[in-house]
Amino acid sequence: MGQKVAFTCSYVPPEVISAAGFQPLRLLPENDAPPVADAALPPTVCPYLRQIRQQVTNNNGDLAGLVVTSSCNAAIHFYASLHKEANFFVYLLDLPRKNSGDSTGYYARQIQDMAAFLEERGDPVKSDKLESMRQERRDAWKSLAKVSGYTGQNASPLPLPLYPEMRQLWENGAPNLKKRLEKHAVAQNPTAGNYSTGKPASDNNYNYDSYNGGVPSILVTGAPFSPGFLELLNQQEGFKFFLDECTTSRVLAPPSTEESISMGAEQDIWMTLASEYLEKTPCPRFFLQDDREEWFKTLISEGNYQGVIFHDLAFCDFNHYDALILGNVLESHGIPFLKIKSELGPGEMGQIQTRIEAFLEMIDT
Amino acid sequence: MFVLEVFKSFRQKFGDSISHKILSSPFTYSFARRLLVRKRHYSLKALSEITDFGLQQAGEAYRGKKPVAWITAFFPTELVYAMGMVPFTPEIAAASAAALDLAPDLMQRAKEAGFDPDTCSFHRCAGGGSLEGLFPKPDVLLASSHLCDGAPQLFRYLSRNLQRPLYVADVPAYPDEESEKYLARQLENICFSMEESGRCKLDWDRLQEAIHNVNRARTAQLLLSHLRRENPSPLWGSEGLVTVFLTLQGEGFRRTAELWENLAREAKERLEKGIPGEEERHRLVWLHFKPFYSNELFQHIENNLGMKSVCEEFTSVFWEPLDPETPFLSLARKMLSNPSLGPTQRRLDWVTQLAREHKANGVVHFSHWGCRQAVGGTLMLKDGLQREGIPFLSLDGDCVDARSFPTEQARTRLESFAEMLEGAVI
Repeated sequence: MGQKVAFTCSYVPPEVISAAGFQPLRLLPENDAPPVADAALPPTVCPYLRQIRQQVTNNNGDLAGLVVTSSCNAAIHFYASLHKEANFFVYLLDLPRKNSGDSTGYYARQIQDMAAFLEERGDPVKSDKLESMRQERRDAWKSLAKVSGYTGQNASPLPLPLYPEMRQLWENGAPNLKKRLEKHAVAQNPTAGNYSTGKPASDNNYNYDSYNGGVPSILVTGAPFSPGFLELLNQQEGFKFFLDECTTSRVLAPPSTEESISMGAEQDIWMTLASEYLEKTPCPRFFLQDDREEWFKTLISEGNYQGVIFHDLAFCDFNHYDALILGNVLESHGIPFLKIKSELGPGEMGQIQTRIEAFLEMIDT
Repeated sequence: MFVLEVFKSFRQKFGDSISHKILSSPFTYSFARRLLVRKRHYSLKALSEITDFGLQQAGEAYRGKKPVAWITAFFPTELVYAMGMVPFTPEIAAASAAALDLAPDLMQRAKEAGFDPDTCSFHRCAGGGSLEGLFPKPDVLLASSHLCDGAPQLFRYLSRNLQRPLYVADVPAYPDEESEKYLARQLENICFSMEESGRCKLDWDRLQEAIHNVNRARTAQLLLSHLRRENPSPLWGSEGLVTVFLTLQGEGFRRTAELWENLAREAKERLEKGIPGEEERHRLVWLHFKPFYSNELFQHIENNLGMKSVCEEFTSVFWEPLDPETPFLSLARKMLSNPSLGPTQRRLDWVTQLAREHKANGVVHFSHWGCRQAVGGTLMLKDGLQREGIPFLSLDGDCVDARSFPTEQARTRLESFAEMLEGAVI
């Protein structure tokens, strides 16, 4: 595997990056505080993007490139701030907000253009190679979905103890993850409260045992979490936490066009890829026929949650309105709701801990 | 904005008794129009006529005889015109609420409903106004995704809240042949979907007329832009920003074309007669909007500091003439050619061009706090403009929430900027 090509969004197909001979790397939130003073992005821009801008500009040469989606105005500014000045290539992948036939065709063309851009800097993207990479990733996703207890039409939120494995998927690629997962016991549906353990080979100390008992289940959703935030959840005894955001459950839903990729002409590959990604569990940026409210109702009805924690990233409109909609749904279901505003910095953890503990105490009583 | 002065008159007349009933009554807007004719507030007749047009549209929306389309600020109103609907822009209503000093109450209402304080105050105020039942009832909500992430999300929320359908135009991040076709098909489908719902009907003759009206308006806008390049300019920012209403809620309407023509004619007459006693020490390009609540920002800038805005970003023509033979494709091209769409370099190139064409020696960006699109690019704009030798000031503030505009700090920064401009010649 060659140099790394980083990406920022779960709608970027990493199999295309792999097929071009690069190692895909999803940039995840870290515990570092975003810089207050940035040369290009003001402090009222998304802290995740400011944080990873700092990460990639400190790149010591092992990053060959970066793929940014047009997911929001902040992301486009992030792209603009880097593409002329970075010591690696930066590509803007235009991402639709719908999953209609027209959107799929449009996105297929965008992915194809990205592949052409990547192969100019890496290896030729051959269809058989792309299909092979796609299958590897799909297998990894399926394995993870199985271990996480995925059962139905929608992706079940990921049990917190499996997050390190998910992180492996993003940071080290699919093949390693599949092998690692094969070593572990297969879980039953965790939302049914009888999740059986199979400690992963990673050196994390996430507590699997708490997922055995009939303790309250908490859905944790919203923006991508920092490791510090997840460690904080992991320290809370007597609760099971299930994660729903764009680096966990929102990539686990099975593509609906599973076998069509190898059946048609080369053009179908791009259409299939586009379709698979646009039909995965949606993020709040998307405007689909079944809108966010329906999605949240389904999510709630499929799990037996005693409470919901929403990780609200500062200055993110998608998150803010998603929290508003979810809050209304939960109110009608009588489920307690805690919105945690975050700028991803370590300095805020004390306050977040206090609020989470108070919330859980309220649920426990 | 456009109704500011008229609503001020309302407040003087009714005091604190301004009620929802008054604001929601079509008769209020008829009364305001009559008042406007008598008051002769603006120095140019065309500016009064623009206000009158706004009041007429608002009255029509409240009257409820025609279907009402709520639109986000950048949705193509040409389609609303072609569908025989009345446009209503909650963001403009938010600006009017700010002028009436109603915004704090409406934002408080939004806060109680769960709106996050990080979201744009235009949207919080509009959300509060909708929850309070202040706005005319919509038949449909129409949103476009470009330039603003928050507005389509607000409309998603309001659509569920009001139980009215939402149609979203997904605007790609940059223009090319594929994105033009993709967007054009969506615009067409939105019209067909609205037709299928039985709420309104696409009138092809009106669509042709809308395209014709936009082209006619464009010609007049370009003429006005050329006239404003003269020194002294016949129209300055405090007046120029009144026309924002036409670009946000009037595109495609016959009246809009007439008003641009009237304004250009009056500006020409002003130039021919001469503009006595007005000092134009510095010429500015103005980016983004301005505070809509009562404040003395422009008075200070123009009268005390002698800095005159001779060009405003949001009212400048950036699109090629539309082709009536391909109306949807033309409208898609128009939307995609917006310089603020996509990476900041496009906006930077555009602003540089405007500054040079208008012989401006400075650029001021009113950095509305909640706007990710505008504020997110200010540091890159500053850097780029400085490389071009064009001084740039980002003035932090809020268009709707007066509490978030540090007036004294703004005065100090503007004064420093004016001093810096003394030596800046482009």
